[in-house]
Amino acid sequence: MTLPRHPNGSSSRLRLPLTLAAFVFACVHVHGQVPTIPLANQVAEAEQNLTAKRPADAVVLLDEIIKRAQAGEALPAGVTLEKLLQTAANTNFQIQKYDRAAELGLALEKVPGVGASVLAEARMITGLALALQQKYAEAVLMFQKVEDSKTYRDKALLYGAMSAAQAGQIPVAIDTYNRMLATSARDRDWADAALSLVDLHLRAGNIADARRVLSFLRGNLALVDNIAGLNILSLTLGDALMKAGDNAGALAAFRNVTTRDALIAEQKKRNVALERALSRYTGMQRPSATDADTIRRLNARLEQAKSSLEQVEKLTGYDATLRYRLAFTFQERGGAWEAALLFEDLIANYPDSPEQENAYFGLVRAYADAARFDKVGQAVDRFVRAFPNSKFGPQALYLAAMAAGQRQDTGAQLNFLSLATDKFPGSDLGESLQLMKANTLFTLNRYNEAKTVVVGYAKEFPTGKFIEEARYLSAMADLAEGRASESEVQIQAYLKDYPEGRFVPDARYRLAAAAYAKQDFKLSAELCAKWLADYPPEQPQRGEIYSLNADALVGLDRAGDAIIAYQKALSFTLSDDQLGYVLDELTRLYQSRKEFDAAVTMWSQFAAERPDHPFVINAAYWISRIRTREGKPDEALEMVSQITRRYVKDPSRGDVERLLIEIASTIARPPRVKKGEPKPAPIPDQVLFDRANQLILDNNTRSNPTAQARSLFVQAEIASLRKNEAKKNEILGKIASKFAPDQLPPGILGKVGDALMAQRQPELAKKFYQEIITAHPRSIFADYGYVGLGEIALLKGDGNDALGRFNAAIDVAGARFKLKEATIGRARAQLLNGRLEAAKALFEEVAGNRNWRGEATAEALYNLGEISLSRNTPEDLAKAQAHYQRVYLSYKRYGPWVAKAYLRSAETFDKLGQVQEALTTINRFFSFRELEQYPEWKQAVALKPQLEARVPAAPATPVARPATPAPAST
Amino acid sequence: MSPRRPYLFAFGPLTWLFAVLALAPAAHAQRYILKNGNPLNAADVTLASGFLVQQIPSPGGGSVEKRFPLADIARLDFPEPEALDTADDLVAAGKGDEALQLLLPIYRQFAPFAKLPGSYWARAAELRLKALLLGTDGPAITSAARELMQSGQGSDIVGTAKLALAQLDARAGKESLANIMIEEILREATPSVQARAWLLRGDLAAKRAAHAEALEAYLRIPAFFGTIDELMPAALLGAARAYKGYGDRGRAERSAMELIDNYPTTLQAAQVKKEFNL
Repeated sequence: MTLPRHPNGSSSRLRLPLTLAAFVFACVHVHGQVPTIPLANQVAEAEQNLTAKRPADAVVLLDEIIKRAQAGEALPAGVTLEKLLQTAANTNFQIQKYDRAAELGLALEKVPGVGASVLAEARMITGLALALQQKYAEAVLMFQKVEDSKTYRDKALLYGAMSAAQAGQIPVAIDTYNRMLATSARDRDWADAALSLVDLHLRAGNIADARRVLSFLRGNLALVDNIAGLNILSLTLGDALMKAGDNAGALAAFRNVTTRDALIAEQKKRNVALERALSRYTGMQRPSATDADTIRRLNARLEQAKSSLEQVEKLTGYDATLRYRLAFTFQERGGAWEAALLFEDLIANYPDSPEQENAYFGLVRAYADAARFDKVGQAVDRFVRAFPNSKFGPQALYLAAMAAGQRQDTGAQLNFLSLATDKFPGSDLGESLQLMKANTLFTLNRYNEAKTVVVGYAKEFPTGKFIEEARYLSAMADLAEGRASESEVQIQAYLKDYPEGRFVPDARYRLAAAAYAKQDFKLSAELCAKWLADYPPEQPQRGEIYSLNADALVGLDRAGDAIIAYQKALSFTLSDDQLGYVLDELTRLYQSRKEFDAAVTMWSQFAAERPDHPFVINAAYWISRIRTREGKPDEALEMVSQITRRYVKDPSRGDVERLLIEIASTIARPPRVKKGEPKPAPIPDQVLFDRANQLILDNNTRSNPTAQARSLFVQAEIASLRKNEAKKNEILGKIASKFAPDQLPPGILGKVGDALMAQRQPELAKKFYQEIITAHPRSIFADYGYVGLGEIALLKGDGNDALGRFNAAIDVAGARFKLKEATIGRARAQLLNGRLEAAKALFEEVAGNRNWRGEATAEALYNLGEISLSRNTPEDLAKAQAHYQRVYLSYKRYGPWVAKAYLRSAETFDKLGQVQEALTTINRFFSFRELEQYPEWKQAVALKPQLEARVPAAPATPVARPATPAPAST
Repeated sequence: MSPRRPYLFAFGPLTWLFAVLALAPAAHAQRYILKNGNPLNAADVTLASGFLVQQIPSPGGGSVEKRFPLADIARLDFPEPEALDTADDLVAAGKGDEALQLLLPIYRQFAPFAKLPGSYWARAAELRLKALLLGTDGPAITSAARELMQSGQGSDIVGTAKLALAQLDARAGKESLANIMIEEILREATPSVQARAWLLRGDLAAKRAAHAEALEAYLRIPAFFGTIDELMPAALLGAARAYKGYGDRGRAERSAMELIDNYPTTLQAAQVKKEFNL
C-alpha cells in the first residue's frame, strides 16, 4: 500500500512517511485484536504532538515507542529505530532534557548501519547536550568526531573549541579555533571565533599569536559586531605586550583602540543595525528553521555586544588611560612628538585622571627627547606648579637641565639644576644634580661657584660616586681661575689618590700645560715627552699632547722640531678646534721660515685627502693667501678655483660661497703698481666678470644652473668690493629672476633674499628665505632664512610669528651670521607684542655688545629710551633722556636714529619741565642740515615755536639765539 | 582596566546552537519599496519627472501607464554599485577623472532619491567631491561641496564638504579663511573628517615652512586617529618632510621608512622614495 504524503511535507524532526489518515486507518484495522495501543497509533500521536508544537507530550510517546521497538516489537512500515532515536534526541534537546538527549544520541550511535548524516547530526546533539550539562570534556570528544562531516564541520569546530575552552583545555581550544578560522567562511561567526581565539592566546600567554590574530581581525572589521569587545581585547593585548617589553607591538595594539565616545557611538550604531536585522527576522510570518537559527544567533550576538558596550560605558577613565598608554609606547618607540601631543591632551582634557602626574613628567621627557628645548622649560615649570612635591620632580628637572645643556643654554640649565638642588635636596638624583650643576657653572666660566659646589659635594658625599670627578673639577676650577699653584697641588694629590683614575692622562697633560703657561717650556716639553712615552698611540689625547709639545718647542725656539711635532699631531685624532689650531700654527711656522711651498703642499694634501672636511675651505683660503702674498694671484686663483669647481654644482655645499668670496676679493684687488710707473686705469667690471666665469665655469659646470648662479654671485661680490652697490643689486636681482630657489645654495639664497628686501620686495624675498629653511635647514646660512622671514613678519605686524622666526634663527640655526639681526629682531618683536621687559632686556643685550657697535646700537639705545619714556616717571624720563643723548652724541652716522633721538630728547626735556634745554636740543638738531630729509625735522620745526612760547623770561643780558632754519620745503 | 570577557561565547542559553544551517545570501534585486510595502522592480519602471512610470500591457494591445509618485517610495532595495569601490580606489590613487567617469552615472541615478534609505547618492556625491578635488575646477568643487552641505546627509558628509571648501581656500592662498573652516570642522565633525582637517592644517603650516606646527598637525593622525588607516600615508609623508625641514633627519627617515614599509603601494610611498632617495 502506498501511503499518501503528508500535506505539509515531512516534519523536520520526525521524518516519518505516515499521514494521520493512514494512522487512523491502521488503528481501526487492528483495534480489538491487541489490548495495547498499536505502535502505529503512538507514532501518529507523537507526530501530531510535534506538529502541534507539544514536544513534551511527544517525548513521552517517543520514549515508549523506542522501548517497545527495542523490545522487539515491529515498527510500522517506513518507521525505523534510527529515525525514532534521532527525533527523540532532538525533541528532548528541544525541551532541555539534555541528559536524555545525550543518552539517545549515544544510543543512536549503536544502531547498526546508521547513516553518516544521521550519525553526524546525532553526535552534534550529543555534544551540545553534554556541553549544556557542563560535561565539556566529553563534549569536546563528541564534537571532534563530527569534524569530518561536510555539513557540520564548522559548527563542530566552533562548539568543540568553545567546549575545550570551558573545560580548561586551552591548547585544544586554540588548536580547534585555528583550524576553524583557517577553513571556514569569513562570516560573523568567524569573527566571533577569532575574538575568542585572541582571548585564549592572551590567557595562555601567547602574545605574538594574539597579536597576529587580532591584526587579522582588524583587516576584517566589517564582520565584527562586538567592536567594543575587540577594543577591550586590543587594550589587554597592548598591556601584555607593554609588560613584555614589546613597545612596538603594544603601540600597534593601542593605536587600534578607538576613543570611548567614538567606540560607544560605533557600537550603538552596530547594535542598532543588529536590532534592525533582528526585527526583520522576528517580523516574519512563517520563519523557517534557518530563520529561527538566525534569530537566535542575532539575539546572542546583540546580547554580547550590549554587555561589552555597558562595560565600556562604565569605564570613565578609559580615554585618559588609553592616552597615557599610547603616549608611553610612542615615547618608548622614539615617537616623542606624538607622545607630547598625547600628554598635552591628557593634561588639558582629563584634569582629574590619576595619570596626570605621570603625564606631566612624560611631557617633560617627550619634549626633551624631541630636542624641543624651548618647550622643555615650560613643561617643567607647569609640572612643578601642578605637582610641587612630585617624586618625579628631580627627574624632570634633571631632564630639563640635560635638554638645556644640549641646547647649549647653560643659563637655563643652571636654573633647572638650582631649582632641583634647592627644592629636592635629598633626592636620589642629588649627587648627579650637584655634579651637573658644578659642570654647568664651569662651562659658564663661573669657576669659583663651580668650586663651591664641588667642595660642598665632597663634604656631603665624601665617598660619593662622583667624588673623583668632584676633586678633579675643583683642581680645574682653580686652574681656570689662574690659581695655578693651588691647582697643581690638587692635581698632584689627585694623581696620588687615583693613580689609575679616569682623569690621569688629562691631569698629566694639565701639568704640562701649566708648565707651559708658566713659560717653563723645558719642563712642559719634558712632561709631554714622558706622557707620549707612557701612553699607547690609541690614547685619544695623543694628538693634543703632540700639539702642546710643539708649542713648547716653539717656546724653546726649536721651530724645526715644532714642525715635526705638529705634523705628528696631525696624524692623530684631533677635535676640529685642535685641528684648525695645528694647521694654522704650521702655516704660520712655514710662512715665518718662508717655506711657502710646504704650506701650500700641506693644505693641498689636506684638501685631497679629506675632500669633504669643512677645512677644505681653509685650505683654499690659505693657498690663495700664500700665493697672493708671493705675488702669484693667478696661481692662487687657479688653486682656489680648482677646489671651488669640485663642489660648484651642488647647492647643498653651502660653504662654497666662502671660496667664492675669496675668489671675488682676489679678482677685485687692484694690480700692484710698480715704483715709478703710473697707476693703471681701473679694469672694467666686465673683464673681471669674465675672469670669474672662466674660473668657475668649465665644460663640466657651464650648463649647470647652480654653477651659473654662483658665477653671478662672484660678480655681485666683485661689484660690492668695488663699491658698486647698484651693480651688485642688479646682479642679485638677475639671480632672483633667472634661477628657481631650489637651484640656489643657501648662502646665495640668503644674499638674494636680503637684496630683495632692500629693494622692498618682501613677497619675492620670502620665497628665497623659505627655500633656505625648507631645503637647507642644517646649513650654516639657515639663519638668513629665519631672520628674513622674521623681518617679513614684522613688516606685516605679526609679532608672534616674527618672534618665533627670530628665536629659530638662534635656537635652530645657531645664528652663525645673523645673531645681531636675530637678537634685535627678537627685541623688535617683543616690543611689538607689548612685552616691554623682554624687549628691554634684548635691546640692552644689543646695546652692550661691543662687536655690534653701530646702527644696531643706535636703534637699541633709541628703543631703550622709548621704553623708559613710556613709563613716564621722572626717573624713567631721565633714563630715556640719557639713552636719546647717547644716540645723537655717539652714533651720529646713523641719521634716521639721530633725527628721532633729537626730537624725543627735546620732548623729554619738555616733559621734565626743562623747556630751555628742550629748545637748545631742537636748535642743535637744526644745526645738522643733513638730517632735514627725515620726518622728525618737520615735527621739530612745529615744536620749536611752542617751546619758545613757554621758555622762561630771558635774563637781563640777551643771549643770541640760533637762527631757526627754514623748513625743508621752503 | 580589568574587563570581564563579554566577547566570549557562553554556554548559557545556547539551545539555539543546534540549528546549523547557514544563511544563504539572497540574490539582490533592484527594487523600489513603496510606503505600502509593495515592491516595484526597477526593471519594470522608468523615471519621469516626480514619478516612476510603469507600462502595463493592455489586453487589446498597447499599454497603460501607471504612475508612482516619488514621495510614495519608502526605501530603495538596490545592491551597492561595485563602481563605488572602484572609484574610491581610483580617488586614492589620484585618478580623479577616471573616478568621475564611474561616479557620474551613479550620482545621477540616485539623485532623485538622495535622502531615501538604501540610496547610494550620498556616497557617490562624496566620492565625486573628492575626485573633483584632485583637479582644479574650483567652481565645480564649490558647487559639489555646497550641494553636500545642503543635502542633510549627516555630519560626516557635511564635514567633508566643509573640508573641501577649506582646501579651496588654502589653494587660493587664503590661509586665514581656511583656518576658520578648519576650526569649525575640528569642533563639530566626525573623527574621520577631523583627521583630514588636521592633515590640511599640516599642509598649510608646511607651506609656511612652520615645521614644528606642521609636525604637530600631521602627527595627530597616528596619535589620535590611529584606526583611520587610509590617512596614515599622507600623515607620514607630511611628517617626514616636516621633520626634514625641522632638521631632524633621523626621524624624517624613520617616517619615510614607516611609510614605505607599511603602505608600499601608495602614491605617498613612491613620492617619499623619490624625495629621500630610498
